[in-house]
Amino acid sequence: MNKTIKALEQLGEGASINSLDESLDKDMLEAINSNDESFIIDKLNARKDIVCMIVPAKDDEDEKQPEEEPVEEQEKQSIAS
Amino acid sequence: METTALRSKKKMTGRLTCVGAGISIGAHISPITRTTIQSADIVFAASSDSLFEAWLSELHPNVKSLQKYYASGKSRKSTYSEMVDAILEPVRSGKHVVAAFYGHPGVFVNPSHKAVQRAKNEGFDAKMLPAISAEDCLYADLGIDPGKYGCQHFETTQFMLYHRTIDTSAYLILWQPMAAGDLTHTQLTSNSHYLEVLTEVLEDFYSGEHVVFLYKAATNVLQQTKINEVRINEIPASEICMQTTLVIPPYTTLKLNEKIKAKLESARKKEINII
Repeated sequence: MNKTIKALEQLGEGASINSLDESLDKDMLEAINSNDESFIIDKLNARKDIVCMIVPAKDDEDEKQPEEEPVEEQEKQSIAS
Repeated sequence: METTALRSKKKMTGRLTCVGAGISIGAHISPITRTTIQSADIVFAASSDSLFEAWLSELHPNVKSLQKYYASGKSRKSTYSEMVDAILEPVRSGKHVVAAFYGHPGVFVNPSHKAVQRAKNEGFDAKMLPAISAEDCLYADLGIDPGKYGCQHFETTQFMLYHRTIDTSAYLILWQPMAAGDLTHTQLTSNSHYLEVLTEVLEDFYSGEHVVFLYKAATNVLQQTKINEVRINEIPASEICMQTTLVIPPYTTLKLNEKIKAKLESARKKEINII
C-alpha cells in the first residue's frame, strides 16, 4: 500500500502521528500535519471530481406504486360493504 | 469453446458480496469487510471523494473504480444500470466479486441492492454486509438519539414530489439535498431554484425561521465534520454539496394521546386484578 495512504489509514484507526512510517516523504508528513488534503491529492495523482451519488432522485420502482393504491382502496370498499 | 458443464461450474462458483467501507478512511471498515475485500478476485469501488478512492484502490490489487460510469449530462439511472452490469459480468464468469461502497452498501445505494437481487435471480450466491453509514456518523456528530423523538428519513426529491405525511415532533432527515428536485437525474451541483421549491414544501410544515443543520461527515482525519446551522428560508442560498445531508430538528412538541393512555391504564388495572 502507498505509504501516504497507509498513514491516513493508520491515523483513521487512531494511531498517533509520531508512530507513522519514518520513511514517509517529509512533504507528505507536513501536509498531513497541516491537513493539506489538496496537496496530498495532487501528489498522489488521485482522481479528482469524484461523484458520490449512488441513489437516484426517483427510482424506476416509483412508477409502480400508484397502481397499487386503487387496488387497496377497492379491497377496503369491498370489506366495508 | 466452453462446455455446458464448465459454464455450470462457473455459475456455481461465481458470487457477489456488497460491502461498505464506512465513511472515514481506516476508521470505519470492519474486520469482515476487510477480509472479504482481500479474498475477492475483483473489487469494484464506489467512493465518496479523491482520497477515499485512492485508499479503496489500495485495498486489493484488482480494484476497478465505478467512477467511469458517471458523465456530465448523463442520467444517473443509466449510470447505475451500467454499474450493475459491470459488477455482474465477472460473477457470471465464476469470479468472487466484491462491490465496495463508501458508507453502508444498502443505505441510499441503488446499484448494490439491484446487483444482489439480479445475481440471486440468476442463481448466484449474493449477499450484503452491514457497515457504518453517514446516518451513523450524523447521530454521533450532532448528538441525536433517533429514539428520543423519532426520526424520519427521505430522499429529498422523493419527499418533494410525493404527498408525504410527516411528523414535525420528530427529526426529519433529507438525503441528497444537492439533487433536490432534479427529475432528469443529471444534476451534479445544487440548483437554488429547485432548493426554493424544497423550502416551499418545508414551509407547509415548518416556519421558515426554523433552524436546521446542513451536515457533512469527515471522510478522513484531515477533514473536519461540517455542521452548518441555517434557517429553512436560508437553504436556497446555502452551500450544499453531494455529501450534504439536511437535518431538521423537531418543530412541535409531542402530543399525548389521552385516549390511548386511558386504555393502557385500564388494561393495567385488568392485569393487576388478574394477578
